[in-house]
Amino acid sequence: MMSDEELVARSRGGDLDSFNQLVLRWERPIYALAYRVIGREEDARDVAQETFLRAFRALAGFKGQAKFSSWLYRITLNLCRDWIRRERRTPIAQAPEGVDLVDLAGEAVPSESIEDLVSRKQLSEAVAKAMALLPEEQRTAIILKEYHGLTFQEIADLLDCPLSTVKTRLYQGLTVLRRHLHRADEGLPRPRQADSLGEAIRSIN
Amino acid sequence: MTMCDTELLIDYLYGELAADQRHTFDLHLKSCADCRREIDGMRATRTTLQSWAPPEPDLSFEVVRAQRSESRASQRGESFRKWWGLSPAWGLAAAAMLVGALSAAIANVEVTYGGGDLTVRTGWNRAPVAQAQGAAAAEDPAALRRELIAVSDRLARAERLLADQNKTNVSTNAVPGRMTDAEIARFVRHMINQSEERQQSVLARQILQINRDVETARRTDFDRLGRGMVEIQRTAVETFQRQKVLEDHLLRVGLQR
Repeated sequence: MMSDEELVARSRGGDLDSFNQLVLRWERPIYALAYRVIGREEDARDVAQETFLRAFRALAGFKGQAKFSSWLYRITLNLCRDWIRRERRTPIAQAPEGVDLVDLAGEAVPSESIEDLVSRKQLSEAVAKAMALLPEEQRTAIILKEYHGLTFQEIADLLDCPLSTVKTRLYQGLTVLRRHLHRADEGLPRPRQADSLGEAIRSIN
Repeated sequence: MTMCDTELLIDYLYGELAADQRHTFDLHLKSCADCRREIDGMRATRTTLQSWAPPEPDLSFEVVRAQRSESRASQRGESFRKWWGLSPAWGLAAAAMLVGALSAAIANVEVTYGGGDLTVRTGWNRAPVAQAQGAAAAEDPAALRRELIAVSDRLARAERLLADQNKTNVSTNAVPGRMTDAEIARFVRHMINQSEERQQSVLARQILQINRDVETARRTDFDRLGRGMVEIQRTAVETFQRQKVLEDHLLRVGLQR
């Protein structure tokens, strides 16, 4: 398999096939980054598409001073920032209305019970909501670290801030998340509670 | 330097400390309950964060040069003009183009981003399809239906003409005989044009069929809904009458007593 750098070199000569191999390689991480930063599926898709268009147009100016992926991340984050400014709002944690059990069953790991699935889905939503509460710079730092595995130095380069600022943002962000998620975790339904609710309903009837 | 330092804590949490620093911090953790609590709590939070999964849409992005497809489109337009310039069947060309545009709007297979010379093609995209259909429905449905009927008529007429045209073409096309290169090139181009037009008309018919199916399904639903309403009304009237009878009866019994 060709490395990103080799594909970039070929793409710079105008080879669209090589560039599309890069697109195939990076479309999911880029979409995931945009989705987690702005919290909307369709808009994240637009941002991801625009990222690749801009990257292809600006390829001549990319001299390999950073990793290709970091360069893509930077374009994506700039587009996300534009989106947030344009929409003038914090990201929305897109919580689907109700939990679709059929949908859930499709993604089930065989050993998981439906209750596990529901709580996993709820946990995912709780995380999305808690992340949406963070200021943009803390959220971005956490996303890059937790879901894209960047080093502190890479994050600092990407966000144009000192290393210590990245660590402070992570610390502050994690502290807020810890508080919110601990509360959310307590709010999750537990089988025993469901049983007592069932009993309560039966006793009323 | 104090060990209860947030930067150090974060470095340790994410395993970005050098081996000796890590060892020192491990020793510190044994004696400092606050830092231990902090580290444990943040580790738990990090574990929870991993449960946030983004949706998995059908992306399949592909960057293509819009210029190429544009020039192809204009070539096609030109070949249409040349071909139909010789033929009286203007209707099919117009209808095919109209329906082609319609189908592009419905299928939404190619989305242009940022304009200019590049385009991103995507996989099947459900949400914009819904939007496109929603937009069509938002327009006057009666006008849309009239337009479709008109297109359908023109298509039928044009297809007949095309069939006639093909009959005459078969006789000339079938016997290429000895041809010069230019003639062969013209012949091939002619065949390609014909094939393109056939595809257009097949597509047009398929789109019309889909529209018809949707319309039929809608009518069936309306009918079923209508019947349901009548049934509910009937039951309501019956219930009302039965209640009236009961009331009268009770009134009579009451008066007798």
